[in-house]
Amino acid sequence: MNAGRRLPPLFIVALFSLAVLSIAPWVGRHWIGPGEIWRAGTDSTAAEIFWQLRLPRVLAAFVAGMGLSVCGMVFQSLFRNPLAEPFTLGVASGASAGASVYLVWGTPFLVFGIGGLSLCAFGGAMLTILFLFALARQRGGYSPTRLLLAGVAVSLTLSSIIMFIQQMSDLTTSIRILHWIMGGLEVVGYQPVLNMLPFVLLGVVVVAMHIPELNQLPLGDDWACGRGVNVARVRRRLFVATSLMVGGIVAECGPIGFVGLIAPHICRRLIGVDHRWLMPATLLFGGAFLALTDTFARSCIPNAQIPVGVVTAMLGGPFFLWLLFQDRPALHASTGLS
Amino acid sequence: MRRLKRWRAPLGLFFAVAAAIGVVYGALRWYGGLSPVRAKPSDLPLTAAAGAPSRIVSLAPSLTEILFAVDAGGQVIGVTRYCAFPPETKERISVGGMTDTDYETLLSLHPDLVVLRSNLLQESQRQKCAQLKLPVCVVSDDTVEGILSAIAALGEQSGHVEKATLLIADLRRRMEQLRQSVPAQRRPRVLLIVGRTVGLSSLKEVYAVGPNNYLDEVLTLAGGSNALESDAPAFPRLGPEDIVRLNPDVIVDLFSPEAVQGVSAKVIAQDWRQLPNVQAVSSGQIHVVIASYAVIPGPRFILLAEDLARLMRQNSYSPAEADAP
Repeated sequence: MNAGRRLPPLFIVALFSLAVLSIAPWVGRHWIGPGEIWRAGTDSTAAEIFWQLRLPRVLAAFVAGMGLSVCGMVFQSLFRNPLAEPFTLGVASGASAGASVYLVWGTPFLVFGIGGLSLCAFGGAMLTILFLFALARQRGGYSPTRLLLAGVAVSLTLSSIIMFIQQMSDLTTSIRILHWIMGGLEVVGYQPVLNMLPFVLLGVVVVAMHIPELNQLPLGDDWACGRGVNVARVRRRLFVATSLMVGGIVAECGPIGFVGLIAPHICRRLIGVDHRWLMPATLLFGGAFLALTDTFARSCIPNAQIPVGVVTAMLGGPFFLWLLFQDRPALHASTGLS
Repeated sequence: MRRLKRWRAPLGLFFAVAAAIGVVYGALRWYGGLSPVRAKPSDLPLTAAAGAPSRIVSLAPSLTEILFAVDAGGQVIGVTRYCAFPPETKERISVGGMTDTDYETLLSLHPDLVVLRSNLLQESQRQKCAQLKLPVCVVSDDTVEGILSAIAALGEQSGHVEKATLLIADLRRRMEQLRQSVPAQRRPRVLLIVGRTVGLSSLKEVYAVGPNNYLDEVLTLAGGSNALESDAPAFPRLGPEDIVRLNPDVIVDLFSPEAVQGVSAKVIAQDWRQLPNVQAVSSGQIHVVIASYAVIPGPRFILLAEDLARLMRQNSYSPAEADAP
């Protein structure tokens, strides 16, 4: 697929993202007129809702969606598995375990304005990454299969630890843990966006620097090596960058699943498997997709908010099954395998 | 043509999602689910003293009850969807739940006071209200003294100090009456249950009342002693083996009416037949309290205490008989 044939779909994706970013902040249970958002002073509730609640929330969803979908794109190439997504390696479970420990501990604290919950969740994610690194280095090399299986095992173990923590805690803490692991984007102000942005930007830059390698890796380690790719080093860098990105996002928003699965696959159908085009498309579409689902989650039921992770899971489950039952040529074509 | 086919699914998805959003949005607008950001002027009678807040939003059912009990109900304009007592709360605007607060609705009400609890369940709400620069009153109602302090605090904040003082005095009088009426013999060991599945003829997801919370204190006030050890968590989850090991003299199930959804107290009590060797089951000391005040740490805690005292006395519990071989 040459550049001329990729530009129109990329343009459509960009237009879609722009439309979502432009329209989503205006959508909600309270009508806000266009002129009202510029009012200041005592009569500025509409402005406050728009600038302090809706816009930060849409931006947070967009940034988180960008990061999760790019991470999914990378994992699907790294592991040569179309069903891989950001939570495959247990990073989200590690963050959830860290958050659970904080909630049971029960003493709120702040460090440089960042809440203890986010810090503990991030710490849990980082410990998981280090542990997986150490596991994967055993017996030399970071093979995709070994990483994937280790990640699944770690994810299952951490999930059982979270259940154990819930069992040992009292009713109130149990409810708080349950709410957190459903994921949510109920932010006030721009601090959560600023907290996630460094991780997402760093991850995106590292991934962008390795686009040529990402085009080679799905074809096999031998093929990539034959074309001069240092497979182990590239894999290590991408693994660290994307795990940090996921850790930073989950620490703020909790685990939001399936975005990293759905967005890259839809973009592959539009754009193809060349990561030079796939990456910007995935970035934009993933961000817009999560912003759109969050808009639905916060608007559809009066006086109640569905956690966005519930909505993405409701979409992602059927999508996952649809992928699973695709015929093999189509499935592998979606990840660039010959 | 092949190019169009490639775009068909994604474009179809895009338009389907956009159409769904449009339909939902349109439906909400059509049925009036969307409210203007500017709240309508309140037509509630203002009973507050000059300078007292007139647009109070309560983020906890217990605090809503306290506000109405101190005659500040006319100043309450927003409550949670779980606030059901007194019936007048149904006329107030809902701002969501206790943990999933709808901040847009909250802001649109222009509150001059937001009241919430100090426990960890509402930590996020406290932080977000502070970020939105909303005036808040945070109270702790985790103990009986905490509830009385909360009544005093909310009475002062709402400009109803006198009413709050009278209410506290009445509650203390009734508490003292209960203490005086407790029999001198050994207090029965009571297992208070605050949550479990009901009507399945089995005991699942049983959450009991541990020490160091207001329900434990209410039990003590009523003349019972908690069957759980002093180092247990506040609301631990128990399995059947734990209950057999504890072997309480009395078991009391506490439910709100919504939690049991029409299942009768008799059917609920029959679930305990699964454990026939427990002292409370074999001696018929299973009681079920289904009341809106059963698990809310508000001013009606005294009703629960009086109910528990009556239940423990009415079935003539006698430790001497229970201890006999």
